[in-house]
Amino acid sequence: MKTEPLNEEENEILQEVINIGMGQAGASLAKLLDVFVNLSVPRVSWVNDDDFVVKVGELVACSGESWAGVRQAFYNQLEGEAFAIYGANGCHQLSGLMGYDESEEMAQEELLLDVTNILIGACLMGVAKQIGKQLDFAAPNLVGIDKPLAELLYSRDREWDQCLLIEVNFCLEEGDFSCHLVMLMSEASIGQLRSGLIEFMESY
Amino acid sequence: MSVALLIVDDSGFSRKAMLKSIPEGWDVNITQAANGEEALTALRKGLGEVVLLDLTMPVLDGFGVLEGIRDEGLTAKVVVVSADIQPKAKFRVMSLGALAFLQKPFNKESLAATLAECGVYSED
Repeated sequence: MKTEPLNEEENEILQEVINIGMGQAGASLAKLLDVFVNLSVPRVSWVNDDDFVVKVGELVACSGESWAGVRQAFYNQLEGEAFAIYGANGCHQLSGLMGYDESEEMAQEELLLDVTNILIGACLMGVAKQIGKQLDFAAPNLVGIDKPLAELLYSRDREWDQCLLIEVNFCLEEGDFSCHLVMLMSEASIGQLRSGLIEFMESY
Repeated sequence: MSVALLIVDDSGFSRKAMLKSIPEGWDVNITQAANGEEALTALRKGLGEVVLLDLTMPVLDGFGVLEGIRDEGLTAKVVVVSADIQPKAKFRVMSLGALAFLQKPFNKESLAATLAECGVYSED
């Protein structure tokens, strides 16, 4: 059975719920790096597996450059996978802010995994908590460093016929660091998501 | 006399939630704006004695609205209502002249308490 995409009202509530999760993730990043983080307006769309890479390319809007990507799956009442996509210069800046030596490749990889874990965890837990749903996470894994975007995005756990695509981004006021969080929520989770969103709305 | 209250948020849902959470019996005349530019336009017309202001918005964000109020010498009592919970965000809006910072998600009680603290609304 085909799942109905979210209607306009549900989309609006979801954006607000994501906004709250993103705010928590941004605050965690600000604390970790001791910087001011600029937040974005969350973007939500419904995609097919075929147009996923193109769509994310549009959202990130800088194809052709090289990126680092970390992927983290989530499951339980909501399921899907999330990607954190970092610009190459941003990775260097991140190491610098944390006082790491750039020559330490292992350290940089660990740093990306840690930062991703914090951002995705705070953002999605923020969402799940607002709408009263259970959520667990798999360990994050590094998909690649200095790779074109498409290559990072093709390494997915599984294919989704249709899914909900959520994008938020964080950038620092100073320097080149930016991170896009791209979250894919499976069609099977939409029922749970919808019931949670309606409950959240009714709490007002 | 009723108070000119301006609600500024890009999310229609969030504006509705604010409308529903306004203390009952508070005599207000409400205007809504979906971004910072719309907010400044309303403020120039005197439609915002008290402002409930979101921060993360397209076109012009809440920080930009506070700067506009300062630069144009507009008079408004601003309560920031935002999910941007960085201590530095709060510090910045307070330095730009906001009276209070209310964290999202808010509810009726926390909104009434914040408005009362700022002296723009009294619970009795």
